[in-house]
Amino acid sequence: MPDELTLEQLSRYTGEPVERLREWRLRGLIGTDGDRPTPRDLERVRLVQLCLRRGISLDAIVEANRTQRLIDRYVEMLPEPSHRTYSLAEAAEIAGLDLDVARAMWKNSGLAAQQGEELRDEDIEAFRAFKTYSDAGFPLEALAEGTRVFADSLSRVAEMESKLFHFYVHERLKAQGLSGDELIRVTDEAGEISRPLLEPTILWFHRKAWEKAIREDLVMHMAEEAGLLQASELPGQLQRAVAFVDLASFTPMTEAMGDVQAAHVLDRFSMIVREATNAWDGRLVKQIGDAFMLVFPDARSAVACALEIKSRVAREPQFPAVRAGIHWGSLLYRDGDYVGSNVNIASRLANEAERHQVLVTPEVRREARDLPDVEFVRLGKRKLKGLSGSFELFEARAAGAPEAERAVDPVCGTELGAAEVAARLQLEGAERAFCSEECLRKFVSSPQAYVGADRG
Amino acid sequence: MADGLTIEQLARYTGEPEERLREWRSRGIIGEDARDDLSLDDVERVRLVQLFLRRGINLEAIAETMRSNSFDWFYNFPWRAPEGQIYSLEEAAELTGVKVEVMQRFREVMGSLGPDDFVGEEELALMRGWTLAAEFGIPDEAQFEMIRVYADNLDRVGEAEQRLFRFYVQQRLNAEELPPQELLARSQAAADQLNPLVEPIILYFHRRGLQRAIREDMVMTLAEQQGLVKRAATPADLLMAVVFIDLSSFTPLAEAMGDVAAAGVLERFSQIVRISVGAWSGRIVKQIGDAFMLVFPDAQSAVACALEIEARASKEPQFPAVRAGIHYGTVLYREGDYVGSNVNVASRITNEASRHQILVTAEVRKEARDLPEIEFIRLGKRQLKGISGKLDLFEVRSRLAPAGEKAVDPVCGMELGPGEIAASLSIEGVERAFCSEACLRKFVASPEAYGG
Repeated sequence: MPDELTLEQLSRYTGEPVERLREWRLRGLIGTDGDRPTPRDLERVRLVQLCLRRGISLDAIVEANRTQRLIDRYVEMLPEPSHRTYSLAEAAEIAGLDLDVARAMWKNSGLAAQQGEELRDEDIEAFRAFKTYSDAGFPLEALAEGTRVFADSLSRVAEMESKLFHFYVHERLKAQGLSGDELIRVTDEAGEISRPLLEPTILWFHRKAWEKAIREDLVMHMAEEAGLLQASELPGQLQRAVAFVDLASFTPMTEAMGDVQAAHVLDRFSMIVREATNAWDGRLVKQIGDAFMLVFPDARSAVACALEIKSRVAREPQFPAVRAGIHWGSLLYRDGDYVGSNVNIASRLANEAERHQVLVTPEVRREARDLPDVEFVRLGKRKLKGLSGSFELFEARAAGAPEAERAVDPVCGTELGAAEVAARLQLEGAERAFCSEECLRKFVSSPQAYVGADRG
Repeated sequence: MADGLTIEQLARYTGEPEERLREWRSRGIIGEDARDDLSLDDVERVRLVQLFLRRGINLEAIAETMRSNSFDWFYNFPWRAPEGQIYSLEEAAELTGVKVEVMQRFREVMGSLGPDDFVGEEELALMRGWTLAAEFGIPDEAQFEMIRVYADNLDRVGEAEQRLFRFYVQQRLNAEELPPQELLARSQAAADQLNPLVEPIILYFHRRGLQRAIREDMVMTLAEQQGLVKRAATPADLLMAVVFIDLSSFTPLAEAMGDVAAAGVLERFSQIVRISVGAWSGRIVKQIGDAFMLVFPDAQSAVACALEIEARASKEPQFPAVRAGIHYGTVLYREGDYVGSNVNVASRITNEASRHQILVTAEVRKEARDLPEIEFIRLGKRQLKGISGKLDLFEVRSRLAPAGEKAVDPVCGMELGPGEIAASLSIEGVERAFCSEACLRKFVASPEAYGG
């Protein structure tokens, strides 16, 4: 039996004036559970508020609710709505959690924005878990950090689930000619079948990831004891190699080829980077457009991985060139990310690199110098943007790898083998190759735009 | 059920030659004293040893630790149920109906199903559910995308659990200098207490995330029906406002103040961004050093949110200046990320912005022009790096916020209110303010490096 709320309470929790709630109730948007509002009406109000904020008129909402049961369908899809509501202070007290910790968790998880100061039974359960962590010695910053990583990661997972369901199930059914009630019924049925599978899938991925993390942690611990790694002085400080790998001409390529085609190139690149990174015990920290940030427990793996990515990319047909920057030093682990000036150095190095170039610092060279079949070519000192002082740089190369000459399309930057050139143009003594007639046309219509084309 | 493994099977599953496995066994690294045959636990043990060796830890040290049983808890995880069988990918494909290529992807992204193509009972159960994806007609590409999003995000969660445990429990216990056995027992006790909480917390955050995503989806569908949003031409095509917002002098600041203090500044910035983004129903797509990439369903919220972040950051004591770039147009949703040339445009205009400046494109201005108390100042056409053609840029300003003049530390780029200046220096009539004596010293040592 759900608790009942007064209209005043509903108004207080949602910030919506009582008279407006009365109107919504009259129009059948809320208060459909019985005589008095219930906690489920909080969800109904929030959906209406969001629709209004997006510029959907109240009449359109009422109409959609009448014909498509918009609001009740939403409430039905929610995972087990709780029957009671609590204030943040009440919830913290029931769970025995310090109010400051509760507030930090509530804010850091983004739930304060999503749900306001109105909590449910499941929130209290989560608070109880936080209480146990807090008692085990986790300080406030660590709990806040953990909350951010959990909430961000799982909200991204949920976003993906919902978006792909929309694109591939709902839209497809619509394309098959379903409409109106039929479309809603079939979509909802598909949702009901698929939703119970989501949680076991998440738990499986989590178990695998946790095992991997524990394994890495054990190795790090052993390596510290064996004196192979410097033990960290501060929480979060780690000795790591950090690499940035990107495609040397992705921005002009996206412009020339269009988003969908460029996204396809990115998918192929992403698969190569992932496979190589996993094979060398690295971790993909994030993808930033066409750039990947990777961390490795040692500099040797980082260099070997970058060279592997480079040689695999060079074998792909019609593909832009790759470039990379690697640095070794102490990094700070924060919020599932790695930060610190050593990360900046690696990122700047990648920007300094030419097509097909893997640039490294002297620290990397020192750590990785006994890698077989790799040579480090000294490039001299360079200034890096935003960093004071100058840096001694080296290029890492696979010894004996033949560098096959490939033509570069001046418009999209794609590298072309002899068989992949769609058009060649001789102009004022220079020869240029193009991947397609479209790129040729673009070039011919404004050659000056592509002379000395930017690499970024 | 066949639990025991032969040494040949173990060699096949792990890619390690039999003679080496025999040696490991004779040294007590794998196998158990009480039984003759090997078990699935030994597959895990071999993988762990392989990883140790790859990281340069010698076999002697490994054998020593393995013999002391200090890793046993690793095999005793609540969910580790090593009874059952191992299947090859082809067998698993036959049993479940999932394509070998799809299964291959699971293996590649997790990197932990082993060096060869074998899967266990757990995977088989997962694959049985996964067949639904194909039944619904989700193409392979989209299935690969799902796999990557699950793997990347839960990887990050698993890493955070382990790291935070190490930093806040393990290292604290280490500092107490307990005898090894007691250290092990205490950290085991902490793990036993905390580990069972992890899965419920994951499901909790996932449910909350799903609740929000469902709400967004229903509103998006309705907005499309109402003709308020253009219908997507290709799957995953969305009309969005993209914002990049960053700290304008973070790299010199990190250099001047050191990583830990810089991370503290970043954390304050991150708090401000999160609170404002939540309030304007946007989404943080990612953090790239000191930059955040945000998306919003409409340009008005994006502009209002950027102004709010800028205003809040300006009120922070000892804080660098914020700058932002906003663009509105179609983007592609890919793997929890948003990509496409419109994203590049937003990122490039952010690089154009000066301290405290919020730059927007003509598209944003058109969509957001009726926002109250806001003005758009035309800056003229600019050529942006990597983007052909010129873009008309505008600066957005709030009419309400008077820009309070603050001094800027020339070393770390921090903005300083009157009460926050630790030192000021006047040379040849030019006055400079510093946040700390450390910055002052750096400046005096090489003024030319800091524009002196």
